[in-house]
Amino acid sequence: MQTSPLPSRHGNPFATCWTRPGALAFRFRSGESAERMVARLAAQNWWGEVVGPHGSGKSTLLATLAPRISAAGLSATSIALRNHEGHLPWQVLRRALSLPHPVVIVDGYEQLSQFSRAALRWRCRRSAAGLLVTSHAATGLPLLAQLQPDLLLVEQLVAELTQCRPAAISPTDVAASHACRGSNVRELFFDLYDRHEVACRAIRTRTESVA
Amino acid sequence: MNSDNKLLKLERSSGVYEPGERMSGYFLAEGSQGQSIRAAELSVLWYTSGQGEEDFEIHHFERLVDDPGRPLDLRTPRRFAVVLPPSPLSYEGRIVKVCWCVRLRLFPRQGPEMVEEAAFRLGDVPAAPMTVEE
Repeated sequence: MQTSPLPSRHGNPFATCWTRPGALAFRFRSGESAERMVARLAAQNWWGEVVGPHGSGKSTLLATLAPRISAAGLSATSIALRNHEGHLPWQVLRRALSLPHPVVIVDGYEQLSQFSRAALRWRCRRSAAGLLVTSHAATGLPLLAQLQPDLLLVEQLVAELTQCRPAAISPTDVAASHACRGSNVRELFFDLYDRHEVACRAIRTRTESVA
Repeated sequence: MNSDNKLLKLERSSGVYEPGERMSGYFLAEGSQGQSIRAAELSVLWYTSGQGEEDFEIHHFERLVDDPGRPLDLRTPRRFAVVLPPSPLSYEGRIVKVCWCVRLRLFPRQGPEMVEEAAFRLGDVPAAPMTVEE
């Protein structure tokens, strides 16, 4: 019979269920907040873009802002583009634009072709709709936030994740992972997940050999 | 609600069961600050956890509701028993884990719902070993 711990999501603090957008709260820089960002977006007529490299927290920021945009009385519709889709789900967009005070939120705007981007902007303008997007590089929409996570932020996130679920990694692992993955926090969490698994198995092997 | 006023317990302390075996346990709860529980849901389910997409399936579900004809009093232990299925077996993999648990969700008259889980193992699949390069 097995003597290892019972398999559970609590066994690894870097599992997707703890790190996916929405599960982990977005950490704003000092002086910044979700409320301020939404106010700035409103001042930009609900048009804006969040710019940052892969895994820098753009989707997490959108997941934080979307309910606040809805709370401000607007109809926010989120569209997540994956796998380098070159076009929008137009039916979803049509439905979104038919709602009162619409705001269309597109995660992965850079995946759209130039034509699709132009068509999206045109449709949003024609419907007096807001448009909030994420992109890896500036696309010409009013800038709402530029994300570039540093080691301090990574350490804060790791501390939050490991507060209730102890990790078998050290601060050295976190620094080494950050040195490899840079500001790609998603990849960094994958790396820390692996380091934690390796460390747990090593501890288990040692314990079993002693026993 | 804190751990003082809710409890979910499996009768087998090891938490290890064979496929097709009968698992039993009990739960009890007391509303914090005197407030009563409107409903309780007990599920026996498996889910995957790891680095990618997650999956889950509920094997057993029961809902208890407080109504005037049948008041819901969870201050005394409420027993449950479930025959476990042949699969999926619990697995402690590197990339993905298959996890089984009993989940108790409590809905008080006021305030947010509360969740308590008791993990258990189905079967005896060994954990994934370390690979050579590690």
